[in-house]
Amino acid sequence: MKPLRAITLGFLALLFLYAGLDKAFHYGGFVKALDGYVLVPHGAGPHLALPLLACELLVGVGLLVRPWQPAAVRVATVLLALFTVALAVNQRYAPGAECGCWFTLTVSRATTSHIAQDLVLLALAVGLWVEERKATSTTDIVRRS
Amino acid sequence: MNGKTIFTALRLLFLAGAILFTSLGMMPKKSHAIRCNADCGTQGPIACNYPCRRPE
Repeated sequence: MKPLRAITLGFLALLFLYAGLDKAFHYGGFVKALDGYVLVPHGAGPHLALPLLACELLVGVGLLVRPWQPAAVRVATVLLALFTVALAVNQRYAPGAECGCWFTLTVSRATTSHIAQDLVLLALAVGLWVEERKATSTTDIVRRS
Repeated sequence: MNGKTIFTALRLLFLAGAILFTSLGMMPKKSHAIRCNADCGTQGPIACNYPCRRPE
C-alpha cells in the first residue's frame, strides 16, 4: 500500500473511531446537539443518533480492514458530505448551535472552521475514492488484455 | 508536471490541512468553558459537559 494512502486511511479511521466513541460516551449531549441541527426534523434526534454513531464506528473499523476499505471510503465520503451540508445550513440559519463534536475535549459551537475542516476531510475521502476507481479500472484493463 | 503529481500534491495539501483543522478544532475553547461552567454551576477550565455533568 502506498504511504500517502495508508496515512490518509489511518487518519480518517482514527478520526471516525474517536468521533464515534466520543459521542457514545456523551450520548445525551449528542442527541441534544443533533436536535439543534436545522436539517434534523424536530424530535428526530434520538432516532438518528444511534444509527449515525454506529455508522461512524463501522466506517472507522472498515477503513482499517482491507477488504472493507472500498465500501468504507464510499460511506465516509457520503457521511462527510452530509456533515458539511448540515453544518453549512446551520451556520446560515442557526448560527451558534452546538457542533456535537469532541465532547470530551470541548463543548464546541459550530463555526466556519468546522465547515472548512469537513470540506478538507471530504476532499481526502474523495481522493481515496478516485484513487480506488483508477486502480480498479487499471486492473480491469489488465484482466481484459 | 503531470496529472498524477498534481493529484498527489493536492492530497498531501488536504492531509496537512485536515491535521491542522482537526488539531485546532480539538483545542478546548475558553469561552465555552466559561459558558458551560455558568450553565452547569461548575468551575475549572472545562469542568463540565452538556448535558450538565459534574466531574467525579
